[in-house]
Amino acid sequence: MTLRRKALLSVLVTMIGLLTILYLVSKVILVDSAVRMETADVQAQVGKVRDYLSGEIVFLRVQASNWATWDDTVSFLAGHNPNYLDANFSCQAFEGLDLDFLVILDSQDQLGASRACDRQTYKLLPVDANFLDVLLKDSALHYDKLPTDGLAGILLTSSGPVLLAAQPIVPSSAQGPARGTLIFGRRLSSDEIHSIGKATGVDVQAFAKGDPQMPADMQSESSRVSPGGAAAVAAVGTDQIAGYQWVPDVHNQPGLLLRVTSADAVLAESQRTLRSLILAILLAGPLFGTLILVLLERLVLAPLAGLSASVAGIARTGSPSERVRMAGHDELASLGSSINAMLAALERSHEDVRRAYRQNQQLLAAISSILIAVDEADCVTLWNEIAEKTFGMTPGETIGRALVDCGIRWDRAAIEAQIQKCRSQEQPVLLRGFFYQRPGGRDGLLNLDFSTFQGQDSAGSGILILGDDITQQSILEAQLAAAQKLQAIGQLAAGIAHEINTPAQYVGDNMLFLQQAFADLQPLLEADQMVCDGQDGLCPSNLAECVRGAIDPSDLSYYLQEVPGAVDRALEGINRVTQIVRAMREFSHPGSKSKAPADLNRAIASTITVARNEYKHVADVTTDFDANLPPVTCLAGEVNQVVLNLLVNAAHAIADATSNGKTGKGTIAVSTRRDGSFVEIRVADTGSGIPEEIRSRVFDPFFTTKEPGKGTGQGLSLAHSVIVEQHSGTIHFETQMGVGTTFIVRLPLEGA
Amino acid sequence: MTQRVLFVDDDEMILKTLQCLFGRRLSLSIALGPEQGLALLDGGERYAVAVVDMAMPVMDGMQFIALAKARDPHLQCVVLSGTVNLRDQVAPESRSLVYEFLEKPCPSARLLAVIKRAQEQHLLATAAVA
Repeated sequence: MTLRRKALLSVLVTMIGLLTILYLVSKVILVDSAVRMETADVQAQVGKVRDYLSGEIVFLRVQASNWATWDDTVSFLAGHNPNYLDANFSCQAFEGLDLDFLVILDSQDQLGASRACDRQTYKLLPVDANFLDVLLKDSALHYDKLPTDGLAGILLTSSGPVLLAAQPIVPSSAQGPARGTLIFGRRLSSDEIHSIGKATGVDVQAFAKGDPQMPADMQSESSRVSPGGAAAVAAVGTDQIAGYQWVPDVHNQPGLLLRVTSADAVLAESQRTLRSLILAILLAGPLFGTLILVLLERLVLAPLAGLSASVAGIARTGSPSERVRMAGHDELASLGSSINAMLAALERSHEDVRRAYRQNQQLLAAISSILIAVDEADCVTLWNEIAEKTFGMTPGETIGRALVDCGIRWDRAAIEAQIQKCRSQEQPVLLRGFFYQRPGGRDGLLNLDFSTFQGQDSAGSGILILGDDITQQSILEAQLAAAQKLQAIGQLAAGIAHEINTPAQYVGDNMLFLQQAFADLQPLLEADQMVCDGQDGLCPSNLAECVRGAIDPSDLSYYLQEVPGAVDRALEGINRVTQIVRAMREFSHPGSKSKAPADLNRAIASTITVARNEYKHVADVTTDFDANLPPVTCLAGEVNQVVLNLLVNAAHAIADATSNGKTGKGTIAVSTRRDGSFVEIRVADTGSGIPEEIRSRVFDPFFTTKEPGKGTGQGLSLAHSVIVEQHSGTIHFETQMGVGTTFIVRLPLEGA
Repeated sequence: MTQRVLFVDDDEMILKTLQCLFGRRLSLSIALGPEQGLALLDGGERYAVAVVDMAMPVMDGMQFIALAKARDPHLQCVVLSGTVNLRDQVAPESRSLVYEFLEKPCPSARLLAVIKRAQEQHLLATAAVA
């Protein structure tokens, strides 16, 4: 229901309620007061008629009293005045006294005289027998019952109601008992009643009790009217009102029922007024309702609808940068400005969200790694550009599909297993050097990191896969390792050349000496041969002379002294060369590309031999090999490389600490030990130790403390990679400034 | 006068061999390491030629030569080293201190010839001064 309909309904309900209340109040005030006024008026009219009737009765009584105390009347009753009736009660007299009949009773309640007059025809008549009969039988009029001041009132007879006044007849002197009773009467005919109405200006009707001619309304009202109470009032027809009241008879019983009717003018007027009022209200109601609606529309509803439409428009476009237009200073305007403030806040937070989204997008775009997200059903939800480039598949081809079904040629089972592992352990899982087939068909290597992230609902966790194509990197690493090896060998080669050249020098020199010695000794030996062959006769002189002349005696003693040493030195030199060559072969382990059991003690000893020239001037090497060391499954060539690096570093450290040996030689102690399923190799030097501030960078690639050209900074980094990554071993060091450093390599016996 | 030759090397084998080979043809002394060599130079004996190894503990051959030259500027120094291309590795300003660079293994005839020429050079140098 729209606000306009609600407003219309409210105005309608208010109007109807208002009209109803107005109508009811008006009706109560106008009509009821009119009814009250009319009731009072009608009662007053009834009272007026009763008063009039009372007045008539009093008048009749006074007349009767006058006549009853007149001495002529007394004398008439005593029989002394026979002309009394004729002289005093002609038809004119009846007219003057407004009487219809008179009755005189004697003291025995016997009829003394009676006369009536028909005042229409002006003829004297005898009193109606029925009436006389009633009078004579009425005990209230009997001589002994009649009060001294007489009795007056209404008496019902079969011929109709009459007004009568009965007075005891006494002389004017008022002496003696009453002589009889004088009764004056007047008929209360309908004409008489009519004339009372005329005289009082009241529309009155009267009927005796039990009169069969009594109208129906009077009969029904007669029971309602209490004889002594106020007049009952009732509406008659539509435009008249009537008052009803009993007038008591002489016996003080309900005698005559009066009905006063009056035009219902006040009520009719009030009802007319009410009608006019209702008409006015009916006309004014819609007018004011319309006016209220128009005002409401202009002042409230239209701006409200505008505001509503404006807000709905903003909601439709969803753009919080729009604003609601509001004029004025009322509550709607402040609502509008509140909405605008809300929109501004919304715009700011929208902007924040957009900025965060942009940053997120830029961040995602800036990630130079493969970024793939899968939901709890392992379907791809994110596939970044690097993933597209690496796998040759667009997001459109992959998003929504299961990761293992999207067509990458790799070990699907391994990927599924990693995802499963990551999900069950709820911790990151790493996959290193994982083979896949590149879009061009060549093999590639991937490093993949799997980590869980909570999805939008709690149904399950998604997996975020961050990866790098390390094919190129692996190639470079392999090349770098080879280069480092070459460099180390190059560096060694000079030392080894030196190590070989020195024995070569003295082997050659000694051989030369031996050659000279043999040449000098040859004549002597030939002489000796001749002696042995029995050809000593050939000797030009005697044998002694011959032998003596074969060689200078001083030469002979020299040779006898020096030749054994020269032979020893030549053999020693050859031995040294042989040893070095063997050590070189053992050091480099050509062709060992896969792990094989190796005698580490021997390998390390070879390495120490090969590296001799690197340390021999600054340090002595002591070895403490575990004689029961079992074979270790490893890449012996790589491990030798590591030991060589440690030896060279130890030699350099000692050289630094001893100013190249000027302050005395240091010691490099190399030991091997078995420790459970591990073998521990320790290379300890007596150098100056590693300063605190560079300890954490020792294994970083390209980190070196040596001057440019002396070291690549790759030695320990490669050592770390060989021991940790290729052998699942550990390498760490203990160092103490001024005391030395010990590098400790731990390798698993069974390889990894 | 005899022109004495001093052999300085840290390898006893070399020294013994040289002594054995040239002992009767040259007036020679051997010193095991530079420190001993310097001690002999300081010992009052004058030497015409010194044959010096390069890679030695405490100090290398060039350092020894610099110290020896400081004692006797006319001393002719021959370097006999197992290091390949040694001459190129020595700083140019130090090269003038050296009469001849020889690489091990060096034929003894060549070594002897160089020593003889160095002795002649020494004669010339001392004569010029005198």
